Amino acid sequence: MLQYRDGDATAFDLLYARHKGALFRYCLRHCRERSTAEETFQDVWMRVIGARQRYEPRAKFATWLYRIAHNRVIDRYRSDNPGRFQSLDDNEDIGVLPAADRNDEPDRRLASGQQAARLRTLLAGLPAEQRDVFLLHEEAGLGLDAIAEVSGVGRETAKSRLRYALSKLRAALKERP
Amino acid sequence: MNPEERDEEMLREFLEGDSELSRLYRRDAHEEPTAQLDKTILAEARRNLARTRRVAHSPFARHWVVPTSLAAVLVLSVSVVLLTPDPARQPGVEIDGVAETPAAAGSLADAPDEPVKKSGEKRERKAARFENVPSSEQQPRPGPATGAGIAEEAAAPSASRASPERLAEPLPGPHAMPADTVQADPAAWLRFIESLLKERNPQAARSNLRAFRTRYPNFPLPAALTPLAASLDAERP
Repeated sequence: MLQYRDGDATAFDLLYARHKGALFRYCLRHCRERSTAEETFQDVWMRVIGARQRYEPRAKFATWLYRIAHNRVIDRYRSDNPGRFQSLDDNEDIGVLPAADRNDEPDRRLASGQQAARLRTLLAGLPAEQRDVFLLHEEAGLGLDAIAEVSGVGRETAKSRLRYALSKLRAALKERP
Repeated sequence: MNPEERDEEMLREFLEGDSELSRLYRRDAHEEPTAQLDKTILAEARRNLARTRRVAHSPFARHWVVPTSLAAVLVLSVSVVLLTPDPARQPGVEIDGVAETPAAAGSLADAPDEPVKKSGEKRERKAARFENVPSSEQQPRPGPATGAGIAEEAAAPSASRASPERLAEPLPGPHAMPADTVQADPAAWLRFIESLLKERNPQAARSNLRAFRTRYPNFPLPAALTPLAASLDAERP
């Protein structure tokens, strides 16, 4: 990012290539609809580009990038739920799968290849803040400290959210072999 | 292993990237943005660079932009100071206390016997001021030097520049009359006529003396003007 800030266009190409997949999936898991995820993804990169001249390496680039993404996701939730949503913590999604998802694909869950799809469905059913910490680790590769920084919470809070997320996912996956 | 310990172990494995959940999640997590989206974002990144590249943002420029700006301001300031003409050093501009201002010109007209500059150029200017414009018989008044004239014009805008009032004054020539303020004072008018004689402008002196005697027939003439008055008397039929 420093090289791009100083005028090296190819540095941005490398940066983008390195982070685009993970960031896109982070947006996709939060937004669920691909078109919305693409809008959010593009918005995040536009903000990165727009902040080029002001960029100072106060943290790892990935931490900075996902903080922008985290905030954009919150904005998206707010726009989709006006007057209700203040932060990811306020998302009242229950931590269980939607009934339709559970009942429509019983056969697919039996195959190991289908377990991955099952996991994504379970992930979508998690409370947003738990889904967020899971994705920040799985997609962004962030540790607990960085996850806490991106989320704007303490380390123990981030750890607690992650523990809940893993516990729910594991229990849901074992619910039906 | 109790449930808490199991959760803690699961969390540790997950953070180390060695959990079954991680492997399962990564199995099909390969979604990527479309090529069109890639193209749009990369193009915007280059456009942003192109927009700001006009202003140098290289590390060198960022370090030197402030010192260079200060140096440029300093050079410009010194140049302006050095190149600005100093009115006190302009040739032809009075610096001995007799400023060429409208007020000074007026006082000169009202009191022509006040100390004035003694140079020939000054006398010529004084006569021209009374006569408005030198006559064809007079020596042409030397024009101000280039540059000096600009400062002089600025210093004395109404005394030496053509103004509406000046254009309304009598036409130049051997019969030109002094200003009304001088004509109103017979002694001053006589001194003016004497100065015309001294400056070897007899025609203007004769015209003025003729007009003076018409206006002030009983005013005694100085000795210097007696011969001229006698010659005027001789012309009478």
